[in-house]
Amino acid sequence: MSGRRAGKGPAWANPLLWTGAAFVALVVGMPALKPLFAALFPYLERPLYTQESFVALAVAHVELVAASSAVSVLVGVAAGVFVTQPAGVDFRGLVETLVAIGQTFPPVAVLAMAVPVIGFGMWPALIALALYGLLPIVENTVAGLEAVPAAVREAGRGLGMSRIGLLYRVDLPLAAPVIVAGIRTSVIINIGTAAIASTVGATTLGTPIILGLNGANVAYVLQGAVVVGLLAIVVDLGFEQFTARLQRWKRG
Amino acid sequence: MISFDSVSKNFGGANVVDRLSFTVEAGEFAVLIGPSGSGKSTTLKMINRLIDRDAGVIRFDGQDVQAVAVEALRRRMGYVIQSGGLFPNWTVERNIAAVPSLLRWSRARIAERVEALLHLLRLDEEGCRGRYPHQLSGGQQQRVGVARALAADPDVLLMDEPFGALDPITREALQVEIARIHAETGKTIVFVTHDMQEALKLASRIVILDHGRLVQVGTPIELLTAPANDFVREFVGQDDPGGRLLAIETVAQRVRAGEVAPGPPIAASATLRQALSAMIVRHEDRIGVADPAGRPIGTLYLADIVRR
Repeated sequence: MSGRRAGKGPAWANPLLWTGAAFVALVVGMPALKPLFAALFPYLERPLYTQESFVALAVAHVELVAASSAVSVLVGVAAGVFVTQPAGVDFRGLVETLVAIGQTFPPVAVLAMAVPVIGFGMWPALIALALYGLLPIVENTVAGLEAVPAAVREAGRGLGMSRIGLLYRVDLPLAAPVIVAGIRTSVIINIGTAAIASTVGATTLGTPIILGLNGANVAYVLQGAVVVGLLAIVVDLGFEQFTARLQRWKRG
Repeated sequence: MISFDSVSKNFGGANVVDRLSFTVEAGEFAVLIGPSGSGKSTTLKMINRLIDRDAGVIRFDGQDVQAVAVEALRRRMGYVIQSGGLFPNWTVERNIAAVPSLLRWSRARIAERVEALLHLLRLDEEGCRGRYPHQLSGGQQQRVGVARALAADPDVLLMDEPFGALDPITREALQVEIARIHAETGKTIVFVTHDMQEALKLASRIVILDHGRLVQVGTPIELLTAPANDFVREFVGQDDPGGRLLAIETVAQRVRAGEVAPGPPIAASATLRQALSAMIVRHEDRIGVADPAGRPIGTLYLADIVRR
């Protein structure tokens, strides 16, 4: 899986480059595809979503995912580190249960509950997505830290590293590939889920999808879905190559 | 350098270490030995406080180890463990530089020190410098572990069964290596093992433990010639006590200076066992002795091997 690229082959053969370019071209050049959609769906009065530009939608979508994932990563990694330290061991069960509950709630339900409390717009979406993305990050942080060999930790302590020093010099770098795998899962889920956030008034790439579903406009749904899907692929490829970089030392 | 004064450690109601008292002088190669469960490893780890004692006092350089900041204490003590415990995502160079960079040495000073240690442990000639631990053999990993422990020029080296997981040939090579390093650097070494051969070969003094209690402290020769009780007698090995004595003493200790014998000479640093072996093969009762440069310095007689 990982390590397939990472420095091998010429730069132009990098799939990330090509899918990234395809994504940008599609988002920027969507208006140019109007004749295509008109031909595909001749019965539709408006075959192309034009309320907002796809560039604006994509930027808003990425912003929402980035903000909510940043919260998930900060809270998730901090929680995972905390419950694996001697001081936090007692909280481990509680944290894992809370996080699991956050994941079992369907995001639509979280959105629906958030609206009466916070109102429509970006904020309920951000909170719902951040909660929803916590579980894989916390779980993988705990798993990654626990997989650090005991002998390595003993040697680190024996050499005179402080607990904090050991954490950021040894534990976190060794756990990083596993933690990043959790972040990858979380972010990819969030890219898809953020589309649903349009139901509570956040502007995302889901907006044309929701509008199209309401108005029986298949072209809108298709336009939104393809761009969201491509975005997920681009981000996933980016994570794959980042993970491979983190594990370069394992090769050879 | 290190002294234990009536030190005890309790795990779950059982005394793992029981009112233990002994001292290790500066420059000594002290070996802690005993059967499993004797508390030897616990004793070692109480020196750098990976385990905290329950009672008694452990002094390092005259100071109670409990009175020193624990990280500062550990940075003055090199620590080597059985499985190496190298940082797997760091190169050999960076592993060796671990403690100097904790101590915030300048980059130039660290580079110079790493260079010296790669050379001391003969790692440079094997091109290990830029490799990762998983690319090394077990023996190389363990030598990197020793280099890392020596990096900040610590006052003592604590070694917890460092060669226990190695094959016999590699173990023997590393024993020679650590004896050479001890001779060259004059470091105080506290070394845990369960292998009596290893202890007799390396130690300047052996501390025998059983069930957390001190049984006997002495030089290898003292333990072989005057075991305190049956436990020690059995532990140092009932079979072939003479052979073990021969393996400890060197030719240099028994040579008659100035006399010349025919035939190829044996090195003064060779053990009496090697000398005896050579005499038996040659069917002679004396053998010439040479210094490291190969110049003859005297003769070793069979009778002199036997005399007290």
